[in-house]
Amino acid sequence: MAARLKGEVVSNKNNIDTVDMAESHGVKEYRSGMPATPPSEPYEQDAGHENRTLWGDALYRLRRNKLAIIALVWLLLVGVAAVTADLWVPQTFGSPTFFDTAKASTERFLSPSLQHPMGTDDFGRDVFSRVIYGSRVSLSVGILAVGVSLVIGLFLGSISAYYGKFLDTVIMRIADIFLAFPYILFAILLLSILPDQYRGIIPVFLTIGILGWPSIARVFRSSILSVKQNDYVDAARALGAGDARLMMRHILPNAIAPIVVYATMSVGGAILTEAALSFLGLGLPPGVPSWGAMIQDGQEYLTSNPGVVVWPGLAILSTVLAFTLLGDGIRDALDVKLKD
Amino acid sequence: MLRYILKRLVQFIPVFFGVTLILFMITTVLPGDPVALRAGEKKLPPAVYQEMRHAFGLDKPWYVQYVDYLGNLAKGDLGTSISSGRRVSDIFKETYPYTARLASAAIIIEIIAGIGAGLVSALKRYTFWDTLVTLTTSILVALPVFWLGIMLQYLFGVKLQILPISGASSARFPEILHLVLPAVTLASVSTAYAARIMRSQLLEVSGQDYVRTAFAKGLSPSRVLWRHEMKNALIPVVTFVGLDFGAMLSGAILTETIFNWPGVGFTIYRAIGQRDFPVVFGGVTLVLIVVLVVNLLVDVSYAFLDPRIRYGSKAEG
Amino acid sequence: MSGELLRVDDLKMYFYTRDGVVKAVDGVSYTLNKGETLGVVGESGSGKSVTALTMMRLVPMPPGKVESGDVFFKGESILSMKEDKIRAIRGDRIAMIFQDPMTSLNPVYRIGHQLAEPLVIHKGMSWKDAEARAVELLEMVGIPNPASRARDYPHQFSGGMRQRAMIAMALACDPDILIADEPTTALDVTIQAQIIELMQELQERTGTAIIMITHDLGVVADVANNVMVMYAGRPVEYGTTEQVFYNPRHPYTWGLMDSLPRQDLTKKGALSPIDGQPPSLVDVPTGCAFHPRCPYAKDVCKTRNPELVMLEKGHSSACLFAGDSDFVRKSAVSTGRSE
Repeated sequence: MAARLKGEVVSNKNNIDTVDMAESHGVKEYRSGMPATPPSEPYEQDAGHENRTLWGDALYRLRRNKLAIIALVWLLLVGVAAVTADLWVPQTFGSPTFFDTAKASTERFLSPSLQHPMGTDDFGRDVFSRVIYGSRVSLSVGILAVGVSLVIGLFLGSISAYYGKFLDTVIMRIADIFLAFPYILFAILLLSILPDQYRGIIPVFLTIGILGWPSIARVFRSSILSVKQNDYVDAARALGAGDARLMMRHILPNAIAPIVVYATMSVGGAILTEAALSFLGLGLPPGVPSWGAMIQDGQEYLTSNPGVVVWPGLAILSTVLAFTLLGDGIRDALDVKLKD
Repeated sequence: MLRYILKRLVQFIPVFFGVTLILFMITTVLPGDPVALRAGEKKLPPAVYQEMRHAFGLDKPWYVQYVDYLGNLAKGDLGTSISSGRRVSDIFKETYPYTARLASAAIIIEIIAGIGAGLVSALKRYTFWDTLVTLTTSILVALPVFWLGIMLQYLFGVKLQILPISGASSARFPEILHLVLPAVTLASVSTAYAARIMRSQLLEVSGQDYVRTAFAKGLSPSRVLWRHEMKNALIPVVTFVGLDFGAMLSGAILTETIFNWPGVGFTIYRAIGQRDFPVVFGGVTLVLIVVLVVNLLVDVSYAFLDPRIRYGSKAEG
Repeated sequence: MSGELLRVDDLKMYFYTRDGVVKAVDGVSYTLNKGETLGVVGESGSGKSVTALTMMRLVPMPPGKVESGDVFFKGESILSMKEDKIRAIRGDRIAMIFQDPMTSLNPVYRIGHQLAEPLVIHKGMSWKDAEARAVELLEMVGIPNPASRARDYPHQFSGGMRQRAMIAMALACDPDILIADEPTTALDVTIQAQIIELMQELQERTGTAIIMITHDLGVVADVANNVMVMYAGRPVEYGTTEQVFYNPRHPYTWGLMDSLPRQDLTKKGALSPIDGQPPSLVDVPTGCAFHPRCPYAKDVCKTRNPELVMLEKGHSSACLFAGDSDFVRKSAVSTGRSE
């Protein structure tokens, strides 16, 4: 640069001027509308912390983000409860599906108690038990759906970015077509044609997953493209790195970062979609406890026991919020590196 | 600018055909035998079966069927309802105005509340208002819209009894009140997003150099905010709201169903329950075309909003 | 004192941040008279820009805080003025242009509009008259086809043209002082010279005083009457351009001069930059801020913070040994003239 020739001594981290001075010393801007997360300390002051890799640093920063940790803990709690449910839920609270017609009339709409922390529904079933079992559906659909989107999206996104030109245009056009469909409508369309005997968890997460791939492909593709342009890729190439090595060691690890964030937050979205589909009666077969279906069923009995509607709703809210906060936290943790 | 618009139009065409092709495949090929579907549960003698196939044009090759399908679309023929026998297009001609009304009301709420909240939260950063807005939007974005609707119904309709919770009109309440709860519900999540976008845009813009220049020119803070900052910050917000309007016009099945609002979404939902596929497919097709067109319009309008798109660079010297 | 436009009086402005106190401006003093050009030189982070922003009261006051000192414009204290008074001065009596013209102009307004704005606000002109005057201004700064160019948007201008437009915008109200913060840094070398020339021309015509903030010694040598060298928020040397360039009396100034690649050197050798890095302003070294990098530093430099000491009329230096006649520059590179 011409400026360097004229005697400017180039300094690095403290190369600041005007009001930016304050910023580099911690008066940080909150850039997004996401919940305020505690800001990270400036890099130089992470004394005694040896780890310099991208992920090591990110993990360190993540651990200090209280909201994200709470979110993670909550999700783990829900996850463990869901997985181990068979071991303790029906025994303590009652079966989520089976109901005794004899006892049903007396057990209906009990208020919350120790035996039934969330009361019972119109069939006398324990609501808490149903909510726990519902978490199985939601979590598995959410994760599997995003898994499907990732598999398709990462594959198509990477070949689109790598091979460029015609292949890129074709894939992106197809992505546009998928993106043009309002999410829910498409899912409704596909699931409404499904004959009853095929209903189950698979069509649901497949449908949601298929709808999600274009966004992931797009994010991944643009992430790869922007990384490709970065100087350090050229530098590596100049040092003799071949294409495959370039891809694996330099491009992918950096391109993957936004995907991790996006995928985490997408699980929340998938859960919401599943709930909506179940609410409309298009999701899982009736009888399988699912949060959305519970809300649908509980609508009529709102006055008798609002818990039947309130609790599943709160369950959805808390789980989706947790995924969002976690995704936020991951994004902030990776941010210093993502920032160009 | 012309080049930009043309480019967008050119991109639109394959998408349009792609979408209609997929719709075509889903509505005619996938469900198995369309004749059986349309005929319902009845068992048909082979001769009648063949005749029906011919009447539906099912014995033609698929690409011809597709062209026919497009032709029908152009004519506005969406088929006939199985349960009521009415023309699908007539059914939706009746119900679309309701959806449009709901969407319009919701958009107005979104614009006022969303932009307002985003503005306040950005201006009063780190204060109580900012935290409140951020918290509220985070929650709104994570909660299921239909659940919110039900909760509102319960609170205002059942407990407080001050707002109607069903239908578009009734004896007890003036029509406009019927619009309130559904519109608020529909607007809720979008408003949250709009507020966030407004906030983050405003924050980003306020850190820009040209804002510093504006202050250096001696302009007052309100002038800098409204003339310089907002004009830039609003561009993505307007785009978002436009796209959102398109999404709302897509029928808002969930909201309409909860409130028995007689719009497109509600009609489609009922048709699903009745296995009235022509109505379902017709409705989805209609909605999709509307959304596509609105998206195209928003895309094009972006050129008008951002001078950098409107005029390419003509730098010389 | 007549003709004295600006007097900065031991100005200290610190930022109070989570990580400590940033001593951005730490005791700056100078005067500026009508028609003069003051060059403020220093590396990035030396506080040269922040000083100017503080003078214009463009620094957000939390986290910033004026610790002591004042700035007087035509005898009036800027720092004590009411908000609407300082707003009347900004853009009208004191104007400022910034480093990057692309980002410093609002992308959604036409150039003509942006130039006209200060006229409408400060001079009460109608938009029509103001935009007409804007066209004249564009012509004055050498933009061809000014009438049609005024209707363009910033992204349609090239870098050099944009900076010209910025200058036009700053001079629109015929200010007494123009503060130019690194006006040429973001531009190509060939354009840089044009812009400097333009500024000189305009100064001759209008008599505007200029504060030229830059790290580019060449520019300063060209245009400035007086020079102030800054380091770590403090002035380390002050004097006329002749004095500072031909008889520099501070090790930092020597270092700056030596690090210039020169074409007229009789002895060719490696470039000699100053060792080390400028200090973080949260953690300024004790005593003389420059001592860790100073090849002449003695023990006393670690404890005593030198004040500016007058060496000859108008020339002062903030080095403890500046006045000693046997304090000689060690480097072999001289100005190349006396040899």
